[in-house]
Amino acid sequence: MSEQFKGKVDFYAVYILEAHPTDVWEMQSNVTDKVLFRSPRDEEERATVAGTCVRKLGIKFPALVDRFDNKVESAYTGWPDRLYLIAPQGRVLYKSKPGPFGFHPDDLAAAIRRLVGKY
Amino acid sequence: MLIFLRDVSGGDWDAEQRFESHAKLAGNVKFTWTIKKKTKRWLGATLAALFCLWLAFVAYIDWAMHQPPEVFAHVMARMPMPAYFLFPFETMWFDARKGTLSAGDLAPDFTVETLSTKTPTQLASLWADKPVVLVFGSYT
Repeated sequence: MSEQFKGKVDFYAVYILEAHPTDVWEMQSNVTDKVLFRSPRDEEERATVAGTCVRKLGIKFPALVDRFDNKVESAYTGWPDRLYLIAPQGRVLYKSKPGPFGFHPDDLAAAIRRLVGKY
Repeated sequence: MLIFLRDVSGGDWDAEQRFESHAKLAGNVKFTWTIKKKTKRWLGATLAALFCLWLAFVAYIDWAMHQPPEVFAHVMARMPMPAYFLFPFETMWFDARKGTLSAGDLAPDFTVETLSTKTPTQLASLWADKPVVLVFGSYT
């Protein structure tokens, strides 16, 4: 999707606290996929896991890392995953429902198309 | 044909069940149940107790969903999978995690670290001139 709307909308990944770290709430699907990480103990460890994530998933757009106080995640209620579309000057145009159930890229794409149609 | 069944074991069971079977010429069979008041009261009390337990359980899950993610995760890690079907997870989750930000609001501005360059970045600088998508998530 980021390639589809390249030049019109910038995409950023915001890396937040782990959804299913091995030391808290490990999921069988993560064990199967060998995505096994404990809760990072500091910002450096979080950045390391974020780097692994970006590399392994082939994320092409820039990634930002939330600080250890999780203030960004808290303000945006981004955990475990969530999508936002923000207009120029900062108005929220689209806010997905919280993941995993509410994480719908198709709805985001529709919101982007409505926005891009205005420009 | 009339059949009476009674428990003579001397135990707590005191219900009498009377089956009436009417075999009509057309071949229809009719059964009727009669349960004593005491049994009805016992059943009612048990159902009420189970309902109260369920309410308490749902209230506990709702409390957990409104806590920071780490607290919620600790609670859910100890929950057996079948318990997930005992409450409306998705509905409760959407409500608990709706947050204070809505479409039309100004997106909060924070300083975050760019992963590639490890330099601080103001979120507001990202959407100064162009629309922006923020994808929140983690590897696990």
